[in-house]
Amino acid sequence: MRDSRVRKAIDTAIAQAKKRTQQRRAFSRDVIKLGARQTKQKLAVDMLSKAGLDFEKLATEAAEQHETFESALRKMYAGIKKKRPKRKFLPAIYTTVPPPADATPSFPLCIFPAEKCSYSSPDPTFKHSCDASKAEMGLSLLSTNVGGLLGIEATPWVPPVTGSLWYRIKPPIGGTLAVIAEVLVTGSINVAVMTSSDLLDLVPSIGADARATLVVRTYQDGGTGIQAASQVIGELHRGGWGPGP
Amino acid sequence: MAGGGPGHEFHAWVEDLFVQVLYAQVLPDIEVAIEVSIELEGQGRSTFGHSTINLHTLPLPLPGRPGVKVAALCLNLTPTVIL
Repeated sequence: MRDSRVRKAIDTAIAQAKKRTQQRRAFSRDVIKLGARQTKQKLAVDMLSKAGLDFEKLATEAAEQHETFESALRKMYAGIKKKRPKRKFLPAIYTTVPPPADATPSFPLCIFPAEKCSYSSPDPTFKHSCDASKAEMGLSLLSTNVGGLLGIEATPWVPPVTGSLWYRIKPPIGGTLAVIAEVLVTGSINVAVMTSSDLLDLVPSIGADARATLVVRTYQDGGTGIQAASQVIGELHRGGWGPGP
Repeated sequence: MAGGGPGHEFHAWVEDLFVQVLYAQVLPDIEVAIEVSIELEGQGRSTFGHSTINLHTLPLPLPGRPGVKVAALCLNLTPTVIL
């Protein structure tokens, strides 16, 4: 009697284990199919159902998560206090008055403000500001909800946004021109990747990168051409792949 | 800064000073245009799930603080001397 109860319990446990294995295999097959078919959103919804997930609930959760994320960022920003020692910039040491365009400049010298300002933006809805008289720029690059809620095989790339301040000088002699740009940066860079599901988090399916680079270039038409130096001032990566190119 | 799984990465600059130096060779009496620029790039990849990239975006307004300010552009010219 006791043996038969034990055997029954073991058989039940084996049956449950087999069922779980079959479910896992079916789920894995669907993941592979998903990769092969790429844009089949319906398959993804079916897959979610098989995994016991509610599509509408996920959508709601994703929206809530996004709001929570933005709200958390605002709080983080509010918490950042300006604690900076008083700085001395190079103009305090060098000559500060920019030379007239037709005058022979006397080196070293510092130029402020800029002569011209420009920016290139792939999307007219991005809001930018640019003021050469203050040598200031406000730039923005935003790509949100990349790939939509399910984001199947989406590999979006937002064209870079570039903002530039321009200066001009005519060197009286040939030689090495040392260009020293002192740039104050205020703002933020952030990336977020989310699946809204602990189960889907196990699959390396999403990733995002963002980068900000400071570049100084000189152009001398009919002379030495284009020369440049740059430094990455901020770079972030999040997700299942390595940093992007 | 990098993270392996789903989640957020965030970095803020608050009047952070960056100094970039370029040593450029120039010829005399030909005008030189100098460009100081900031390039913002972002990309996301998603097979399942979604990603968000924000760079100095409007949900985080910073009144009275410009994103990028070139405090000064200083120049020095050293003549090429052949002894």
